Amino acid sequence: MAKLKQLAKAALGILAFTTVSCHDEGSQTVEVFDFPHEETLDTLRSVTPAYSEYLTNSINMAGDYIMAAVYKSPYLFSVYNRNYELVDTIVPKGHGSDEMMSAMYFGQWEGEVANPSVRVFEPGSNKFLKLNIVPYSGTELVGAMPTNEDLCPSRVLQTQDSTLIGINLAPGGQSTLFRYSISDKSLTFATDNLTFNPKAVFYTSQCGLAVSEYGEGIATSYNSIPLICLYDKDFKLLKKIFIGPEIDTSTVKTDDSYNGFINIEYVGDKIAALYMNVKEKNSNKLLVFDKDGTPLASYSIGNSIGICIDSHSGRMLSLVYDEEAGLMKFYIYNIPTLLSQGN
Amino acid sequence: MKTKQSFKAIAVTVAVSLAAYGVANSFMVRPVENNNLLMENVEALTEIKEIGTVWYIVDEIPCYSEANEIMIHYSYINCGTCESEMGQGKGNSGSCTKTRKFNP
Repeated sequence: MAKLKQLAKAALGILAFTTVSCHDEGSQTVEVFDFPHEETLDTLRSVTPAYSEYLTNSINMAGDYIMAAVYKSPYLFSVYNRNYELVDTIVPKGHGSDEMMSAMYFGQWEGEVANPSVRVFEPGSNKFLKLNIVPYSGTELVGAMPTNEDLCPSRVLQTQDSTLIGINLAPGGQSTLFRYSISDKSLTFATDNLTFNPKAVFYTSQCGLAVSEYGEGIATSYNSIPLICLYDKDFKLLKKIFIGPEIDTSTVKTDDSYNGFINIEYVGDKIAALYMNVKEKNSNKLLVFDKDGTPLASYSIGNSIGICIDSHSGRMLSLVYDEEAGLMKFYIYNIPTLLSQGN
Repeated sequence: MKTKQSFKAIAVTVAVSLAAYGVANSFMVRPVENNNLLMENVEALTEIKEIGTVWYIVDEIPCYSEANEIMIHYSYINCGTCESEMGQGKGNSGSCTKTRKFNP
């Protein structure tokens, strides 16, 4: 009986989303009202880690370690082991050798799990760097993008062929995909596929970025609009996925309160996006799609404002900010089966 | 007909802007590539100003006096510096101006 119910729910879920084709853009627009699988995840335990008062909502795995961006600290990152114990605080803030004023880590690393080499982006200098984190051994240049007022990346990821793909967000401008070739130093911007209100575009077009393992798929998720866009490797917009009814992006204002996404990432051949419900507390969700954008599952995950998926340990770490205490807590979950390796 | 309306909109905007424009805290100058861009955006523009022989489009960009700095997947314009910083803007808001060069 339970299985029949699940099947019925899955069928209803599939029927519930509406597809509208937009032939003029050559892309497809999909409205998602329901997911075939919906579940509330149970917390295994919560941890208040050392240095938690400095943690931001950016956290990613790096080999055997968890690397978290920190603020109001003389360092830029704190590093934890899989027992959530603080291992080190790294990258001193400053202008000296092996120091940086700001750095972003988007979860890309290589090397041995016990001695990972991570890729970080330094805004301002527009340098993409690698550094060893345990022990911290300073930085090494991977690629330097041009520095000018028009190139202000908010996200940068490196693809397999030594190309950087990122989101450019110049002050007052629109978030735009770009590609930078480290070898021939060429910079290419995508054509803006979406139209935004020019007075609000800097805020309403802000989005996260995910690139599939071999760079053939690109996904963006909008912070202020419940929208995910899927692109091919040539920046051709393939699909717009709205959670709920389609929204005309050109009408969205800065003070509108649409739900949106905090972040997005590829997990194997799936896309996982952290969806923030701004209208209802404790109602954020981890939404899972296949690589073509077909909705697969929705996991309720409380007030999570950051997710770190550790496929190796089978655990998922969620960040929840305790406003009263003024610190960040780790909530530990089992990785949903759908996101486990091999599924 | 649409072009006529657009030019009328430009004329009105220019007249208003030349009368009202003061000292703008311009933090970015970026050339506009073609006339179509102006035509598409003309109704949303705040001001257009001529300095010497060069026309500038002046946009007002919302800024915030403070931000939730733990939300670093977001960016905001700091009203104090008119620079982009990581964080989710909150608190009292204002505006910074952005100028884009336009050669008609």
